[in-house]
Amino acid sequence: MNEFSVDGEDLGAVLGKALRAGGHWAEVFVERRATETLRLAGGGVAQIRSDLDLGAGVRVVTAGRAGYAYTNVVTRRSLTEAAEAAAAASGATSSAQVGHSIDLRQRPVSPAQHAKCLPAHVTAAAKIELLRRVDAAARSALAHDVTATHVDVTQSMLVATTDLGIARDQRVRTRLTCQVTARRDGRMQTGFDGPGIGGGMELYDGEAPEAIGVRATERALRALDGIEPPSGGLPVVLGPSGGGLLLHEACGHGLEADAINRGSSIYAHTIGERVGSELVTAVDDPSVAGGFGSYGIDDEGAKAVRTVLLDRGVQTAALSDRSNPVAGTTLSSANGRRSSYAHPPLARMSNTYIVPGFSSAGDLLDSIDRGVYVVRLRGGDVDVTSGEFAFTAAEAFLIDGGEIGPPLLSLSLLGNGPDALASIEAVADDLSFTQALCGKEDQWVPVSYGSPTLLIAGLTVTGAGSG
Amino acid sequence: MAELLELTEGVLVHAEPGEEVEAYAVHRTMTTVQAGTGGIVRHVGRAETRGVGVRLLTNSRMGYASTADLSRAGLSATVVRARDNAAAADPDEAVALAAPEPVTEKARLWDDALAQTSLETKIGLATDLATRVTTIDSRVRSIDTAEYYDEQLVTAVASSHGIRSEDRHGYAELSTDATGEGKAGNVSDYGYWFGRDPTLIDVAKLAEEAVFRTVRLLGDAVERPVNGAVVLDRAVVGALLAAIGRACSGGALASGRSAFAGLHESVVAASEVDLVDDGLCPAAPEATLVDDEGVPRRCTPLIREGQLVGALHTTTTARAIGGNARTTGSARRMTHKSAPRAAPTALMLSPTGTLSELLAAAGDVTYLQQLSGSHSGISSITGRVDVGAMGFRLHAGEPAGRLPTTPVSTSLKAFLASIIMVADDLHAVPGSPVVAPTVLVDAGYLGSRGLNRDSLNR
Repeated sequence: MNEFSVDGEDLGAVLGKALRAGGHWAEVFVERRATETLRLAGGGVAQIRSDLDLGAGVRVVTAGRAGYAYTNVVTRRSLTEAAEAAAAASGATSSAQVGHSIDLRQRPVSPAQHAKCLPAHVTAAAKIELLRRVDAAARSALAHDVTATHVDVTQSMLVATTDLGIARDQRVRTRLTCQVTARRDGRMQTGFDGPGIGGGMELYDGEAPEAIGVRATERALRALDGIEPPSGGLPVVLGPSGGGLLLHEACGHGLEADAINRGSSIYAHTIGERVGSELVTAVDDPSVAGGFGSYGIDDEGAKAVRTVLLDRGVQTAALSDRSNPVAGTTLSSANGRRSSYAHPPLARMSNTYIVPGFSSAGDLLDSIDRGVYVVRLRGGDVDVTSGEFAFTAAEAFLIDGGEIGPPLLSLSLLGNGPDALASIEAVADDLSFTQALCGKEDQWVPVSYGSPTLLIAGLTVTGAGSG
Repeated sequence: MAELLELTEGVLVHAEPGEEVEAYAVHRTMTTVQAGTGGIVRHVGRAETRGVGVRLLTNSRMGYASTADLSRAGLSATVVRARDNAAAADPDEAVALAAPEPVTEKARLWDDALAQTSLETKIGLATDLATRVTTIDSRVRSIDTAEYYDEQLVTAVASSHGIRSEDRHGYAELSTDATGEGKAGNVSDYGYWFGRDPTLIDVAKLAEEAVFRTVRLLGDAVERPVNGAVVLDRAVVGALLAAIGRACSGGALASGRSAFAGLHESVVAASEVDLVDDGLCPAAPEATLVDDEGVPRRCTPLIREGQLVGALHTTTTARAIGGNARTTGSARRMTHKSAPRAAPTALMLSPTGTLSELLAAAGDVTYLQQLSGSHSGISSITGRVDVGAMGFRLHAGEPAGRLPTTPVSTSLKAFLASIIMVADDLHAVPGSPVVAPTVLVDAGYLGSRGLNRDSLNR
């Protein structure tokens, strides 16, 4: 525990202070995080940045109310002050002492992210060399504006809770992103690729860095040839990346237990009901080895478990944290996550995906006379109250007579979460994942989302062409 | 404050001959209170953080490192890491630290009342707001969260170029959503207050704002009006201006990754359009007296009478652009963990009339209140806008029925070119460097795929 500069005795003293002030239960989250960011832009090194952060957050919970305080001075004294502040913020009063004992047993944890090659063992110069390979591969006559970024994060954390003991986890993640801007005849388009893993520098073992640059450039160049997309309600074939984002945004956020408990989610009153096509089974699983959104324990110390959210279209569960437990229980689904010690945990997704079906992606395309094939989505917004969403396609093609036609210019897909889930008519067998950072209440956490190729009967496509 | 400046000066002693060093230190204190329906307090957070970021230049190579360990050993180690990073960087003649400039402008960005407001008062504001929202209209019976947030910041910058700057500012925000229940499903919108003195918040007015904005999205679905003009709510205008601000930042322009690259002194907007970024605007959360490399902030014209006349620069982006470009005091950092980059603080369109004049001029029109997909659907690089828009029919200045989701497929330039009138109801847009008004635009703004077509997602 020396890496945190506090030991079990210190943590016991801090938690004791929190309970003596009247808290029902309390928790200390301690974190040490090293982040390396290296960026190559315009052919030169644009940024090399190192950050070392160490801090702790103390949460004190009374009946239904949580007080939170944090500090980046990790000593027994400063943590004790944070515990006093959190207890006061929780509304705890010493006259309301509950008198719980404190259990500080160490609980064993198996990390879900493990680096075969720790990023800290690789020099900045070597990482820059990898970026130069990406840059060189990405350049072409029309695409000479390339930005390649390597980010690695090594996080050690512990959670000490008055009633659950102490658990520790180690997380390492590494990601490379490449953005290319291509220009021709006054038209400008961008292409992007950004693989990542819950692991270390072995990211570059799986695939040559050059392949990532080439892929980003090919996407930008294809977009230069794009035609105006059609408009109106059309059948849409969503590639694995697009389907995963659709699940994440249009369904997953609505299944987070805080929104459900507040009644602000469109899925607040539909547990046990059919909310999607029977072809859709959706899962959140933070225990996936090497997943970008994986962890051994969540940020409240609960052991990572797989949760089935939709079982053949029926809503079966929510993503819960300790403050928003699984309905009818005091249990969490181990989805309490925070972007750092500076934030209290929220119910969040981890690695969320649709279970593959039995069709081939080719069969799905063959079945469409005229529609849109969206390979990837760039991002989108969803209103969890109404379920309305809008996604922007990063790469899309016209489908004409069952064949993939010309690439399409930027377009958006508009729809409603439950309607879209119910309209899924086919699920292919080609599951794959995409890595991303997911934002909620100003907290960003690493996630992955996955899906096989999906066929959706009708979404609204924004476009200038005829439908 | 003096303590923080001393801390940054203490970093400079670790510089070696031939090195230029800048230290940026921040001390941030924050309070958050969240309450749910009925005024039940769910969360109260208090936090205090300090950190230091170091930029080190040697032979035109820049390295950056940051730390929360403010001990002498911790700061020394951070300088070493910045030096190591600089050694691995490529030389870049544009990279430079700022030169000292006197602070001459005044702006009221700090109010002692913020530091004097008790936690109990802050909790009371959130619970009062959460309670009031559900008592105004029977269609609004719940909220997700009413939140009070405040932040008090002290920053200091010291550099081997002689910069010695300190800045203190603080602000408070109170906001809530409201969930409206309608025949076609639930909708939600928000109310938002920003200021320097929390005791000035009119909670009743804020609750009414949240409910007013929500219930006008309810009601029976109606046909779109024939009139081609469209009123854009400040939330919509805020999303568009934020992207325009990114496109006007020096880094984007220098790299060519901007929809406005190469358009300096070109006409990019209707002739009535004046757009500035006011780094000293008291109505903006990010306004400060000096920027994050110690240069005085100022008001920078970006578009004047429809012509693109300016850009937002740090010392480095101004050198990268060359010519007559100089820093505009627009260096921003998210935290001490990041090097400064050029970014807007308070983008503002100059009003050309009052809100009531705008509504009178609009007549029977479409009012667009919310955008969906704006984070990914508005590109400051290509200038494309591909989003969905939610709104209502506005007749004689009053809401007259819900409109179906409208696909909007257009461009940032089309938005600027189609502006007919800018109202004077400037409001800070939450989470955005924009102080936005209501705007009346020609329907051409929505492009050929917009209002002329029916939405087909229902």
